[in-house]
Amino acid sequence: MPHLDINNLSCSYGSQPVLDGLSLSVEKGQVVSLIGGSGSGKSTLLRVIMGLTQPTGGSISIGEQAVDYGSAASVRAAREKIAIVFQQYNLFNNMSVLRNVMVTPTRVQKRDERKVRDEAMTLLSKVGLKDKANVYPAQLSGGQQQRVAISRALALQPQILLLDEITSALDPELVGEVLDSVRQLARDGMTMLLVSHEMRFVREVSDQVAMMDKGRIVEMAPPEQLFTQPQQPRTQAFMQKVAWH
Amino acid sequence: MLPLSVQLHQLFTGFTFTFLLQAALSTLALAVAGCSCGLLVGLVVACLRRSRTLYLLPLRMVLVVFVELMRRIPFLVTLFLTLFVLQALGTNLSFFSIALIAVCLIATAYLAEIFRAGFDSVPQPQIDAAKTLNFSPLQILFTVMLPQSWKVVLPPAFSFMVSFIKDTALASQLGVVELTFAGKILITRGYSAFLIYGLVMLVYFALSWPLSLLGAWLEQCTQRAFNPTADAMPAGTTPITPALPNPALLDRR
Ligand SMILES: Nc1ncnc2c1ncn2[C@@H]1O[C@H](COP(=O)(O)OP(=O)(O)O)[C@@H](O)[C@H]1O
Ligand SMILES: [Mg+2]
Repeated sequence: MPHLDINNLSCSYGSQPVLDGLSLSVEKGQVVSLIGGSGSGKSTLLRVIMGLTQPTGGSISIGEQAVDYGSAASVRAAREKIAIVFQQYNLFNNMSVLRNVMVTPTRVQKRDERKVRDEAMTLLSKVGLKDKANVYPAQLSGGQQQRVAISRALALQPQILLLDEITSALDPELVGEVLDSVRQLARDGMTMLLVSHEMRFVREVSDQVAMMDKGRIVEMAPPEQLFTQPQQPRTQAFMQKVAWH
Repeated sequence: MLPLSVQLHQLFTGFTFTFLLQAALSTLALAVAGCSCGLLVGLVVACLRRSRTLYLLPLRMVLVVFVELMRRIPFLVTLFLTLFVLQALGTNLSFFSIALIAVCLIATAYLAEIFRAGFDSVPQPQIDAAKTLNFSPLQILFTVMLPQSWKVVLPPAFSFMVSFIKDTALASQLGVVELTFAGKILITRGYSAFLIYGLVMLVYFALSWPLSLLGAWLEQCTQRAFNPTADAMPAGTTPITPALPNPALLDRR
């Protein structure tokens, strides 16, 4: 049984279809990477999974539980299991780093403040930011903010993590530190669906790589196969472009 | 006209003093009622205008019309409209109550608009992040949107409220004996215009100055939250000062 199962999903902005009967499944503990050109609908897919954008058709299940995006309770239940990290970090500007990590477990999940604080500090030291706990996001570099955002997502103790181009807004020398945090998560067996343009990283960390184009998955295969012997013309063209970068 | 010493003596004794004091209290009551109602209901109106629930659509339309209309007609007209509408409805309210209602309507419209601009200044991704973390609408409002709007809301809100204190003088047009009207009455009773208007000025100043101070203090508090002082930061970090909006540009009235 897949951990995250997406079936024939559609979504459109106005009359323009953005997701067009997309199907994809992620097994428990697997890392699946989405690659594809800009505007192919990768972010939209993650937004639909998180209940930020309404799908127009199809279904999504988490484990055995189908998510009903018309029902607030069902979306809440889904968000308890899935966390997302955005390209632009989206840390709360008005809260310190520690507060950003603690606010959801204490306020939303109503867990014990002292215990959450310990966990938050552990998460922050894992990403090397223990000494920045009382600093505000505006005072951190992009890479540091992104690692805080990962800690904030993990503080929810999610089963599945979605990562949307989390290194795209970073200066090249800061990319490594963020990817290291993701590698560690992959080793720990976190189920992940990630969007990335860091091809070397995708190749190294993924169990499956899915090529997306015009709101569909055109090809999905283990990284070695997809990168060395792409079957579809669209994937071949994409790989050629990437290889030149 | 009486000699100044006699005027002064009479002014601060017995009836005249109570008369002025009561007038000042009327002004204060109108201002406090207007501002508190405006802040509370204005906040609610601004929140409702943001909701996307379908069955609230008619209410949202009414609120948009209310806010846009109220901000475009002179206070005086609102005052008389309130009077005539309430009279047409057959209510038997005192002029003071009618002025009170009008003042609340005006402040609500203006402050709702100020809150709306503040909410619009919060980047949508901040709200998206809160949603994916399962924040309830009220939690989004109180832990994300309001704290991030203060720096946009406070300057125009306090500038509105400070000028609103003096605008309550228009209630005199309904015969409500507030500060300005009381001054006029005393002058017709033979007091020196200089003396009375000087005094009236002082009282207006005394009413609004603490409000200005409170506003300045709150602005400072909210800026500090985003902009902690250098000594509060561990060594080695460079403070990046978020660009603060120019208050003059934010005062959209
Ligand atoms: N809020 C929106 N309103 C209208 N169109 C949108 C919106 N967001 C994205 N789109 C369109 O949807 C398509 C897919 O966008 P996106 O999912 O962000 O692509 P990707 O993340 O793969 O670059 C694009 O053509 C984009 O212009
Ligand atoms: Mg994208």
